[in-house]
Amino acid sequence: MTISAAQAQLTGTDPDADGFWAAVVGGALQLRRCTRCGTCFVLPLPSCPECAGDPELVLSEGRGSLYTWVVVHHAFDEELARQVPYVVGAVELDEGARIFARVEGIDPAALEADVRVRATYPADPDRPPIVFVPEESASA
Amino acid sequence: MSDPRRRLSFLGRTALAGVGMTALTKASGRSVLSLAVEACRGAADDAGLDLSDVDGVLSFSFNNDSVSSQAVATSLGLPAPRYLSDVNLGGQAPAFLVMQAAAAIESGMARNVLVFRALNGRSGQRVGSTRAPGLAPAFRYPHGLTAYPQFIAMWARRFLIETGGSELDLGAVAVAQRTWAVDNERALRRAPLSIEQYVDSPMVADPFRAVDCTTEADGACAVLVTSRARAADLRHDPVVIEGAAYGTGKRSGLDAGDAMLWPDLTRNYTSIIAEELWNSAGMKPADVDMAQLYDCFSSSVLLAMEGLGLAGRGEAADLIRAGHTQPGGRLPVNTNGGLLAEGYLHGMNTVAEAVYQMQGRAGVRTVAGAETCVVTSGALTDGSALVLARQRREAA
Ligand SMILES: [Zn+2]
Repeated sequence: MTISAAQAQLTGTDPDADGFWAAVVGGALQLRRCTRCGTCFVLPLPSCPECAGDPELVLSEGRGSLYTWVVVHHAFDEELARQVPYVVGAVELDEGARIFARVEGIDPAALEADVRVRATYPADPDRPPIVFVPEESASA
Repeated sequence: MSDPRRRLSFLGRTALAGVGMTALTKASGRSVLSLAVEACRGAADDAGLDLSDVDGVLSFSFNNDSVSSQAVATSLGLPAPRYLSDVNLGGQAPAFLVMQAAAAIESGMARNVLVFRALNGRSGQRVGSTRAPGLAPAFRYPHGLTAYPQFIAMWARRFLIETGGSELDLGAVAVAQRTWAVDNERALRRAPLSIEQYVDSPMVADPFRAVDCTTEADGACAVLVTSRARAADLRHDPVVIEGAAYGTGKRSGLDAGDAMLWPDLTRNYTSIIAEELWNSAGMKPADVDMAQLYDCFSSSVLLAMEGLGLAGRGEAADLIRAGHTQPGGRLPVNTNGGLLAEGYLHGMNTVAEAVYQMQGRAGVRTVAGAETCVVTSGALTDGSALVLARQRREAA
């Protein structure tokens, strides 16, 4: 199997994280769900942070609400400096796990807490790998 | 539970006795080792303790930005080190390392311990722009979430949402602390700051403006920890360690910047350790005369005031706006101008300011009659705190 440019850019930093990023390139958010207590989490931990039970892999529906966000105006490297201002949000997925990712499709000044969003997965390797947009928005 | 003080045998029996600090600059032009040695030698000299009596050195560093305690012990010519330790932590560490030093002293592992932080944090390796290795960063960097101002801005935003606050609540912190900094010759930012100037400051990581963020610095700071009995024979009034706690909660995260698992970004470690801290000291929040609260960013002061019970939910900014934390106020906070204004020695200088104040040595900033002080270290999911008290001695 050959890997895409996007996947090559995202994987290889940590073997435990590679599966997550491979799924993103395939257009899905991979979660871990505890087989004992049902807690879901994004970080690929070997056991559940609630009860130390064994996790299983599940896919998220990719929908959730915006818990908080930052509007980045000053970037600390050149690549990101070309993108400012941009929004990184903390999204509480409906499965109960929190994820950080870009938020687009809403004027940063008009963002509100707990607004409903859904994940999109830009194929362009020059774009961020996960972009949350308003749930009702048609564009990807 | 029985008397919780019994769980920490060093409380009331150990003390801070001296402070050493280099100048804080934007380009030291010196090695980190030379900065560390100057601060450590300074702390022993300040206490009036011969370096040959120092047998412990403790320090912390972030992404290998410092030098080892062994290197410092060697450079200082310490004859018989018995406790050398380096921990890989950031701002959570200073109070925690003072606790470790006190525990080592109480248990007999060491007699006199230097705790230091040294770095070329502005001209060398800058924490704001250093990409950390590890699993948690792999879930931040691809999104353009790369630096602490951005991580902590997430906490600040949710805090303001839930408490009904505004960006002006953050501004209140920056403005109040600058009223102290104008009288601090060590501070990198000393010009007065009005709320209008605050609003005009450029956005860095909205809701944080430049003046909501600490000033990165080159420099070093050290404190000398010893037994209360030994401290009583040294140069300055002993600053007794009366209360102490380090802690975090479930879902603490994988590194200092990780908040993917922490349930509530409006409450940091201070809300977790507060009860243990106050119980350990046998005190209540209202009993302390001042607070030195770790402030890498303005919001962490609001979270700490609430978390420790110095202010009610959503009430910290009002207390600050009313002037209570400024010179002459009833609860002075960050009397060196804080990390926001003095400079970022990762909170070691926050502990140092507490010692200066408790010894009546903070110049015109000295708070008359202050006998007790709470000090925190850390802004996020884990951290530590001390309750310190001045032991007044008869004038020599
Ligand atoms: Zn579980």
